[in-house]
Parts: sequence; structure tokens; C-alpha cells
Amino acid sequence: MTTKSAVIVFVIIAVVIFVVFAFFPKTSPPTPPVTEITPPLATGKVDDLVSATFSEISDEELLIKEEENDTLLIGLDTQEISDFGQTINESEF
Amino acid sequence: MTLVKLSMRANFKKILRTGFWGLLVIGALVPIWIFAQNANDSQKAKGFCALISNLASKYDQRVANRETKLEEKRSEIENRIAERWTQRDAKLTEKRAKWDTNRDEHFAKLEEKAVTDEQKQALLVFKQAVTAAIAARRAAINEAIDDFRRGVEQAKIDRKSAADALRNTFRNSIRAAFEKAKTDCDVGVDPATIRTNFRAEVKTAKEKFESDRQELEKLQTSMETLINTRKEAIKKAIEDFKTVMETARTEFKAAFPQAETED
Repeated sequence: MTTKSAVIVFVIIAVVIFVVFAFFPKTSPPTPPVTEITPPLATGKVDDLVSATFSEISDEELLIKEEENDTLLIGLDTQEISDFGQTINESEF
Repeated sequence: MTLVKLSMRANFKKILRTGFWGLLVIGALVPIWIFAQNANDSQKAKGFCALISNLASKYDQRVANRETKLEEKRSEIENRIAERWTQRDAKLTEKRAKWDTNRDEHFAKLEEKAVTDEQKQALLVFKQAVTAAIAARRAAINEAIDDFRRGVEQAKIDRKSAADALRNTFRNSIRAAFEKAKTDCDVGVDPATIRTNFRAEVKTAKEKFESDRQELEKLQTSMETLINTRKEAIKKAIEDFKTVMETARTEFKAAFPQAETED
């Protein structure tokens, strides 16, 4: 490889690296969804106790809300039902 | 300039000549193709009666395969839902135990502060009110979850019944078409007519199946009602709980003002 070719290759690699870093979105690891709330430390204050009982509600809600997705499972047999319509094709005969 | 014009004219003639021959070839091939199609159709019509029983059993076999696949999918759905519910129930019990322990710690701290009989009595009343409010809220939420799950179960049953009905109707229509074709073959009706009628019946059955299937998918909308009903029930349980808690807090603070401050 001549010096001229080496320079060209180097420039191309540099441009590619620059484009990749400059224009492509930087990916960060996905943050896991919050599924748990940690109870607050006991302080001996009534307001903190009441506040803790309200945090318990939020903690439960995180879990209960997941249940809504169960309704989507019911329709998972759509393809299998639809396939019955393909058991026969009039153009075959 | 003249040379260019002459060359263009020659090219134009060449294109015209090629186009003409091309059209001629296509013109000759189209009738052959149509004839071949008709011959193929006629061949199929003649063989139709001979093959009808075989075709009917092939159809039954295909239906049986699809039924197996549908049953497998239904079992999978059933298991996934059951598994999720079991896991969630365990998680909910775990969470509630965690908050019970935490609340006990809060009460223990408050008990350390309660010195006089009045303070001890106020704390006892407050503790009972909080415990009762939590039990009521949890019971209401449990009921909302149970109602929702019963709704999901019912929706699953409704969907299964509707799907079974539509595929039975479809299968019966196709079987009837086969039977009619067999009978017509036995009595010597023209095979081409039998085949045409059979194909028309299959087409109609398929169209009906597809339109019924689309209706079936609309059952999914009832899920939104279930979700909203549950949301409302939970919202009410939380609001009731907060109201009781605020009253208990106010009464407790009035009876035991020291409980407002940290140690």
C-alpha cells in the first residue's frame, strides 16, 4: 500500500467514526420500570405514619395496574381462529 | 443534420417493426393460454367427482389440525393468565406484609412517646382506626381484583363460545357443500356445474366466516368496561381510606399533640 492510499483509508475511517458518533443517537441502557416502593423509616411522627400508609397505596397500585394487560392475552388466539378460514380454498378445485 | 434525421427515422421504423411483431406473438399466445386454462378447468371439472371423497377427507384432516392448534393456544393463554395471577397474588401478600412491618415500627415509635394514660388511649384509638381503615381498603381492593378476574374469565368463555360457533357454522357449511357435490355426482349432474356450485358455496361460507370473525374481535371492547369498572372501584376504596385516615389523624393530633414532632 502506498502512502497516498494509506492516507485515503485513514481519512475514510476517520470520517466514518465521526459520522457514527456525531449523527447516530446515543443509546443508554433502558431503565427498569419501578415496581417497588421502599417504606420510609419510622420517625415517631403521626404525619410520617399516615404518609407511609399512602405510599403503600402507590406500591399496591404499581402491581394492580399490571393486571390490565391480562385482557390482551385473551385475544392471542386470533390467528388460530382466523386460520380456520384457510382450511379450504375454492380456487383449489 | 440530415444524417441525424435519417438515422432517427430508421430507428423509429425499427421500433415500429419490433412492436408489430411483438404484438403479433402476444396475440397468438393469448388464445392459446386461454384455451389451456379452459382445458385445465375442464380437466379439473371431469376429475372433480372422482376426487370429491378424497378432497372431503383432506379438508377434515386440515380442520382437525387447526383444532389441535387452537386448543394448544387456548391452553397456553389459560396457563399464562393463571401463572400471572398466582405470581401477582404472592407479590401483593408480600408487599402488604412489608408495609405491615413498617407500620408496626411507626406505631412502636409513637408508643415510646405515649406516657400518660390519655396519650396511650388516644394512640390505641388511632391504631384501631388505622388498622380498620387498612383492612377495609384491602378488602375493597381484593374484591375489585376478584370482580375483574371474574370478568376476564367470562370474557374468555364468551370468546370461546363465539369462536366455536363460528367455526362450527363454517365447517358445517363446507361439509354440506361436499355432501351436495357428492349427491350431485351420484345422480349424474354435469361435473362442471357441480364444481361451479361447490366453489360458489365455499366462497360464500368463507365470506360469512370472515365477517363473523370480525364481529368476534369486537368482543375485546368489553374489556375496557372491565378495566374502567375496576379502576373506579379502586379509586373509591382509596378515597374512602384517605378520608378515614385524615379524620383519624386530626383526632389523634388533637388528643396527642406531641405526636406531631419527631423525638
